[in-house]
Amino acid sequence: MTAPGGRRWDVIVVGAGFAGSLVAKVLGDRGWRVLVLEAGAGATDAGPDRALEAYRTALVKSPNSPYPTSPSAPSPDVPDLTGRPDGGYRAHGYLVQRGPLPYASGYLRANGGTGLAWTGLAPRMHPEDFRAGDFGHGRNWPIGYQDLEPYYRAAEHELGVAADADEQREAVGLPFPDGYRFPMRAIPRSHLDHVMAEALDGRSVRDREARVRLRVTTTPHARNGVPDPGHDGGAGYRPDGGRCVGHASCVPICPSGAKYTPLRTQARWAPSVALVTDAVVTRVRIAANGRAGGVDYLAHDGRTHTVEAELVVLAAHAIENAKLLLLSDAANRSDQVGRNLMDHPVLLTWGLMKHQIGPYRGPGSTSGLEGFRFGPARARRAPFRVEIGNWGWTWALGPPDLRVAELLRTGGPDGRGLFGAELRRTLGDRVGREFAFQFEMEQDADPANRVTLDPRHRDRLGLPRPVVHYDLSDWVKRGIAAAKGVSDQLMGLLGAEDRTRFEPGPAWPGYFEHEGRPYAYRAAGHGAGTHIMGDSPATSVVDQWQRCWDHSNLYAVGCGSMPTVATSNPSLTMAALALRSADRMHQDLLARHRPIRLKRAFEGADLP
Amino acid sequence: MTITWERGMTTVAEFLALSSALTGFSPAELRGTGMVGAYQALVVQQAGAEPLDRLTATVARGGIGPSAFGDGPERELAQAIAQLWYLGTWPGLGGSTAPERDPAFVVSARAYAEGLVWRTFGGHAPSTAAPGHGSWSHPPADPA
Repeated sequence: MTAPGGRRWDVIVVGAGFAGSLVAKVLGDRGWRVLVLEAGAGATDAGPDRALEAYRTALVKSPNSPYPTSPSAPSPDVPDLTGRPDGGYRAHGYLVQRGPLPYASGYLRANGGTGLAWTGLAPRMHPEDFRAGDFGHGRNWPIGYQDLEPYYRAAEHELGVAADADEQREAVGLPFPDGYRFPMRAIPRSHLDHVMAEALDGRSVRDREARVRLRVTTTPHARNGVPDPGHDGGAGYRPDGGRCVGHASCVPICPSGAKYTPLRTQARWAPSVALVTDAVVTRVRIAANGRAGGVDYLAHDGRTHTVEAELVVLAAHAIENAKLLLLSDAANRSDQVGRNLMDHPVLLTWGLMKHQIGPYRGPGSTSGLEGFRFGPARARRAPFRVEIGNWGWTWALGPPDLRVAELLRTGGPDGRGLFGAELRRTLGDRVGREFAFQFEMEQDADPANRVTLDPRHRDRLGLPRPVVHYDLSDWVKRGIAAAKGVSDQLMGLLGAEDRTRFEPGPAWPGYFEHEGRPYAYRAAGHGAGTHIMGDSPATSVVDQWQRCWDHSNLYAVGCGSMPTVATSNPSLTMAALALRSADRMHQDLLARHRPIRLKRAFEGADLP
Repeated sequence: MTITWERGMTTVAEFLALSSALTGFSPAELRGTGMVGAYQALVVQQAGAEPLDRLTATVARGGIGPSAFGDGPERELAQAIAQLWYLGTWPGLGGSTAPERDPAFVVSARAYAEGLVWRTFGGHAPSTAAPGHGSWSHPPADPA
């Protein structure tokens, strides 16, 4: 089946991030010849030392700051947006923005994708999250938690997740098979978590008529901790990379290699998997019979190449997948390609604790409050997950740099600046007490929130840039208002000094008013929904296997397939979905061919 | 960078004394960062020797508050030097010199790591220290 010169592949995977690297691993392990095309630069080419140097010397330490970007494959980043003095925003990056509110997340086009810069939190979705449509907002999934559960375990093994199954069962309500043990024990809580637990555990806060009981709960991490010898039926777990030693820079870079990135999976690829970076795919070739024949890509040398394969897998991030499908005029019988763009809008609240709590240590968040993610309240307002923020006010107001600059310019009794011992004492007192809450809101799938292409806006290669129309529904805004109400009560229970204040201006492009009150959101980088999964070709782009309804050998994988983004960080769910789809791809390929390098040991193997 | 030293120019000891007065960290603590020479050279390069000499003289007379500093540029230079030490970044000078020549920048990865702000509460610049697995569970250390 392979033409001379290796021009025909079993599988082409577009995108070497989370989903693409996992799919390539599964199919390579089963003997298929897989070509992975990555638009961005090879992040490893320059090496981790170069990335660290870039991060440390970046004036704005944005999520993409450590990583080499390619002029041929631009990436949106958080500083692309600024707020206007009287509200509203300006977008001056790669994404063209036309919505009432900004899509405030970035992503990274580089080998490893946004999975280089991600935070490394790996919670599962709750069974209820697959039935969000039953609550009247968003959509139901064509599969349930139990369909995905074995793949959650497989993903937790591949990523190396550190968590406590008993705690997740009791505090989050997650079903696990009896005796399940994560690869590693839970990452230790921060001192701030301990202080919070002391003040909050067993208390409750009011959310309208209901009272929600508080319990500080450890968050699962794809980050190396202490391996659990009980994992995998007593086989244990041997992590790749170092153990987390508290560099406190997980987003965007982990110097000890403790955080999982897709590069770790790439290192485990079979030899039948090949990677080409700086390869910008411009189109999926769709044959007259509706099957995908291959892709065209622009290479580093500026020339267009065509590669052919039995199966094409788009794994280029939600927005880039939509862009490619639109460019290819593919998979859009439902008119849903690019629509239903979702993210996690994040309400940040921040304050000063009574005592020094040691911020800016360890992972960005080690615990959260889980009680607002589920239950009947989600019929009325968006549910949310509460992260306890270990890195002071970084996400809310920027790193301590801004507090230093402010004290120097406007501190002191006369408001004209503070210097010397008083400056040192004041900074230590204040920055050492900084903490934040991060409320990650579910956003409902709304067809009006969408990615389109406008030929008037083109990138350096002449490809149309994505045009985004984005807004928050009243349901999300009610969730944000409810979260602020919860924050007010938490601050009270903690005896903390609440310093939260939202006002229009450059730092808050996500400023808005709701029922006469000011709010502002940031975004978690969790773009989803642009090739939504469903049970009908009339209303969705991909089926439960992430296979395009319109093209039987074209898959679109990643968060773009998610019918609901739920309240959990989505990377683990994306990984589980990718592993599940890869099993299906293997079946599809087998139905047409046998793998060329079928290993003897493989022949008697237990095929799913 | 080569600096030609002239009579009347601020000495290293004077720069240390000035920096100590502005930051509240002792000359020994500042010397311990290993950044003294690089920072003095940078200030001379960015602001000029004469403004630095004038600021040194002002502070030597016992003035370390905004009211003690003379015109706008002198106060701005004092703020810039304090910021340099606290963050490892040069904020740029707006005032009388050409502002387009003076955008803000991080001096070096080393300068970032040595930023004093982290030491005011016993912390470290993100990505620069490995205090150990689970170290974040303990109450914070006393500030340096």
